[in-house]
Order: sequence, then structure tokens, then C-alpha cells
Amino acid sequence: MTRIRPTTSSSTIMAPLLTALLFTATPQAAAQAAAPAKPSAAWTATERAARGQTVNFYMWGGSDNINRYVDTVVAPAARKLGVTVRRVPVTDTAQAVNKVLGEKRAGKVRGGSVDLIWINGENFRTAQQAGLLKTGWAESLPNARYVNWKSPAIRTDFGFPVNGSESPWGSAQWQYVYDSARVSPSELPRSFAALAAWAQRHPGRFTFPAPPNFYGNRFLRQAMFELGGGPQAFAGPFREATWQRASPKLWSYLDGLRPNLWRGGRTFPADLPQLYTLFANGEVDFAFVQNIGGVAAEVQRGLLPKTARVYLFDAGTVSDTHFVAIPFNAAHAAGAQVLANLLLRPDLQLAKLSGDTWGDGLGIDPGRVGPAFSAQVKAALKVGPYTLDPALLARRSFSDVDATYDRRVQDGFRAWLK
Amino acid sequence: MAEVDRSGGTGRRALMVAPALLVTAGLFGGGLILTVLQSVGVDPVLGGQEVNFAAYRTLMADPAVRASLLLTLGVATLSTGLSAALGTALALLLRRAGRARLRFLAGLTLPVPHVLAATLVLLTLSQSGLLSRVTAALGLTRGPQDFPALLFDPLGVGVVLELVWKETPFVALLVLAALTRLDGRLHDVARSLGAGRAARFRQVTWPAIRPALLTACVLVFAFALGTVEVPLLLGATSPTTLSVLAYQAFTDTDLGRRPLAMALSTVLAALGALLLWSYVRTGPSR
Repeated sequence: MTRIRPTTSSSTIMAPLLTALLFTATPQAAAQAAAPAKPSAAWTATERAARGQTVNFYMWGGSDNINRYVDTVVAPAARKLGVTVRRVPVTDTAQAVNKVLGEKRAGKVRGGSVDLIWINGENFRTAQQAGLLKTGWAESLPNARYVNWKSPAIRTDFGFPVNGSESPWGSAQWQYVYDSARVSPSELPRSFAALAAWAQRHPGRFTFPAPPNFYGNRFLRQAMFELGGGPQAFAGPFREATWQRASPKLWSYLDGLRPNLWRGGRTFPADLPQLYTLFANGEVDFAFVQNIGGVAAEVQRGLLPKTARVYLFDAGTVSDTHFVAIPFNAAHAAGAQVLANLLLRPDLQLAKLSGDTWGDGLGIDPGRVGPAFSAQVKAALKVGPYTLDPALLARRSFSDVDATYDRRVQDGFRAWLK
Repeated sequence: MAEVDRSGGTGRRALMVAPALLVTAGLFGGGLILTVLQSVGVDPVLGGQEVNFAAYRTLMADPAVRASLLLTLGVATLSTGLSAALGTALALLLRRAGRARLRFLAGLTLPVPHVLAATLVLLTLSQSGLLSRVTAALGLTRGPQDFPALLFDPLGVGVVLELVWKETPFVALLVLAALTRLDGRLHDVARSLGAGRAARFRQVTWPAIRPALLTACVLVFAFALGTVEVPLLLGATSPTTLSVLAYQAFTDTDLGRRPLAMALSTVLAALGALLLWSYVRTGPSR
């Protein structure tokens, strides 16, 4: 049903993590990482405690590809370590956060029902504010040595310091999906101004999920960046003046676009699956995707037609990291740590990258694993009709901005609808 | 209920229902109290200690909430009225047909969950759904754009359609049960006294089914008031029903919106209580 794909962002200029580093792996870094580090006594104890535990992994369940990856790749690997993964699908990460919040309210400080959450930036902020997360564990995971903790995209999440309370899982970048059977590459709109002009020529053939949906928010923020002078203008902490200058441009842009939207802009799809249905049924010509692997997985699963293609706007798009976190009262914290560590294991990260399963970007830095791994990464990201060149993605990426802008866009959209 | 054993039996009966009552009062009542408390800002975990009515003031000032209230009541009234009329007609038909197999078929939609029913409606009636494809194949429409936009509309037509589809057999079943208890000879007597069809319905059938129908209506209305999944799947993004607004506020990442979610839930609960109160007041006395 309603689906918000957990993704996060950092407030600082983001190093286009996976891809830029992908081809610049230095032999020294590889040599350092190649020697398997001896696990610390503390970690051995954690692994021993985790044996026999069932980890309740709360995650957005709106994508078959992702669910399948967890069930067929992650769960069997965890079983070898004596940990059972119980995937608990939620339609919105806030549901998992609400559950932990409810337990805190009820005074349940241990034995909580949520062990690991696939969390997004907004919910991370919320959970931090209410003191719902275990802190200081992520950087001591053995596989954390593959993570580039110096990268601003990993140090902060939505402008909030991560402080070892989240472990990265993967990365994503916003891309546009079009149907090559209906739109020829030469007439593709590559800016928001061009999009409005295209929609005027093809009324009813474009729409976006309505905020508060995650995808709708991100789409509108992309528009705001372009109309408000580029993402650099929004970098750093939230500034009221910036918002006051940029937001009227966004609303007047939407005013112009609205009559040419699907159903005249009187209603919007509630979430991404609904938008994909409209797209696949030929009601609209555009959709969005965040996977680094583009729409390869979606086309393979028959969710999107074979004629679906991905492309970028000229000004670039937002890319960011997504994380997992452990609630303060998790009943199986040891198992959750073992699972978080497993999610960072290079072979599992590689399996996730392929469009055959999920197409999600790496959470680790291939340069820290070794040149052989970097080569595998390059091979896994088959550039083709459904996947863009990672080098192009990296060149055209920028990071998201302070979470307050997201909040203002949500509230502003509600007001604009009337 | 009238024949309560007066010799201490009432006490024992009270004792016997106590476990069920405790569970209901504890789970439901407790939840209700927490909801009301959080709606007035009392939530120690989030740092709220003082009672305030800011959430209710926000609700009253928000025109979207007013539109949503109208839509919610409209959808609930319309779907209740339509399912009551269709359900009664179905029950009368089934009684005349009298075949057990037909009755079974009529009740077939009852165990279907509303989420599934809503999805079926979506697949059938959307502009690119099954029906639209059939009309396109027959050459009646040229494509999705020609098919009437029944779903995601600001008037909640899609939501009403789903509720009527699901609730009509439910109403029919309750009315049919009442009809089965009705002594058929009453009709013969009425006929012998010269009552026509309409008069027989008014004088004999209607009094017999009225209590069951009223109960069914209250249940349907209460469900329509609170359902989240149906308007979420089939309704427009704006205006949307109060339950969806409450759900959105509850799952908002801004913890500051929790009181708003609780205030909306309290308003819904109050509407439900009002309904129940008027039902008990005007409802059939036993």
C-alpha cells in the first residue's frame, strides 16, 4: 500500500560515494583491507550472544525485489551464524518508530519487540529526538572497516549526526523513468521548465505521488532546488530567508503545471506502487526510481514494461545513504548487530547491487575492500537500457538538504492543494 | 434478558462477564484514555505534562479538516443508505427464492477483507482497469482517458462503491435472519384483510425487520466512519477522510503532530459515541 522508501540524506556536500570511489581504489587501501582483521573479544562475545536469536527486522515492505533480497540472500547467510531473520514489513517506517515509542511510553525499557529498523532520515531524526535508538555501536562492527566514515553522507543523516547509532546499508540516487514506446529520447524534458512545457503539450500524462509520500516530497524538493537557484543555495542549516525566496516559485510553478497533470491535478497517486501501476497501464508516461541499478529489477519482475528507460535531468539529482538502526530496548540487540554487520559484508553488498535482485547502491567503499571487488562492482552494474552509467550518476549527483525544508514542503503542499 | 434470575443470579452473571468486560475496558478504554490524554498534550515521553487544547484549535482552524469531516459523514451516510436499501431488497429476494445455495452465494463476499475488496475495485474500475479494457476492446472507448473516472475522486464515489459492495450482503444477512423469524401467516392475515403489497410491507414486514436493519445500519455507519484502508486505496489525496488524516498525522515523522492525530481520533470516537447514543435512545426497545 502506502510506501515510503527509506532513504536518507546528508546536509553537507555529498561525496558521490559508491561510484566516484569505485574506480579509484588504491592498492594500498586494498592491501590494508585484504588481511582479515582478528575479531575483537567483544565482537566474539556479541556473536556468541546472537546465536539462536530471532531478529525482528522492521522494514518497508513495498518492494518485492527488496523483500526477496532479504529473504533469499540475507536470511540464509544469517542462518549460518545462528541468527534467524524475521522480516516484519511496514508500509511506513514511522510505524516501527511508533511501536518503539509506544513501548517507551509503557515503560518497557528492555525486551522490546523491534530489533532492527531500516530507517530513513526523517524518522532517524524523530527517533533520536525521542531517545529511541541504541548509540555508539555501528562503528565497532567488524565490517564497518569497509565504510568510509569520513564521508559527510555517512557521518550525518538529514543534517543530524549519526554518532554510531546507525549503520549504512546502501545508497540511492533519484532518476526519472520514461516509456520509450511513448516518449522519444529527443523530446525528453531535462529540466523542470521543460517538464512543464512537455506537460502542456501532453496534458494528463504526468503526475507524482502526493506528499507526505516520500517520493512526492523528494520530487518537489528537486523542483525547488532548480527553481530556487540550485541545491547549493539550500546547503547548510535551514534558513527562513531562503525558504521565503524559493517557495513561492515552487508553488507558482505547480499552479502552472497542475491543469496539465493526470486527472487535472485534482488528485494524485498516493504512493510509488500506484504511480508504477499508472505507468505500466499507460495512463502516464513518467515515473521515478531511486535504485542505482535503475529499473532493471522492476522490468525483470514485470512491474514496469520492457520499454521503460531511466534518465536524469541536466541539473543532476539527489543521492544519499540509507541506514539500519537498533532501538534502545531491542530484545535481541546482539543478533541485530550481527545482522547489521552482515548487511555490510562485501558479497552481500554486491548481490544487492545487481539489477537481478534489487539494484541498490553500495553502503561500503569498494576501495576499502580491494581491486578485485571494485572490478566485480563494475561488472555487476551492467550499464544498459535500464541502468545508467555510474560515472554519469556520480557526476550528476548532489546531496539533500536540511530536513526542515522537507517539512516545509509537506506543509506547503497541503496548503497549496486547497 | 427480561427473565433475569433475581435470587442473586445477577451478581453471578456480572461475575461471569467480568473477564470479558475487563479485557474490553482495559484494552479499549485504556487506549481511549491514552488517546484523549495525548490529544491534550499529556505525553511524558515526549516531554508534555501540561494540558492544552492546541491540537483541537489547530483542527478547528484547518479548512482541510472541515472538508474532510463533510466527506467522511457524506461517505458514511451514503454508503449506509445504499447498502441498507440494496441489502433489504436482496434479503426480500432471497427469502422469496428461498434456496440455501443462493443464500450461500449472497454471503460469499462477507469474509473478503476490505483491503482485498478495495484492491479488486481498483483493478476493475480504475481508468486502466479490467472494465476499461473491456470497453476499449469493444470499441466503446479509445483508452483510459475515455473511461469515467470513478476512483480517486473528491466525492469519494470509489470509496462508497466499495463499501456498498461489501456491506450490502452483510445488511441482507441480518435482515434475512429477521425475515426468517417472521411468521408467514401474518402476511396471509394481512392479505385476507385486504392489504395490498405496499401495505403488507409497511404493516407486516417493516416492523419485523426494522430492529435488525437499524442495527446493521449502525454497524455499517460506524465502520465507514473509521475505515482507513478503503479511502487510502480508492479515495482522492485531497480531501480525504478523517481517519486517513489521523493516520497521516500519526505516521508523520514530526513528533509534534502526534497530538493532532490523537485529537482527530478523539473526534472520530466522539462521532461514534454520538451514533451509539442516538441508537440506544431511538433504537428498538426489547
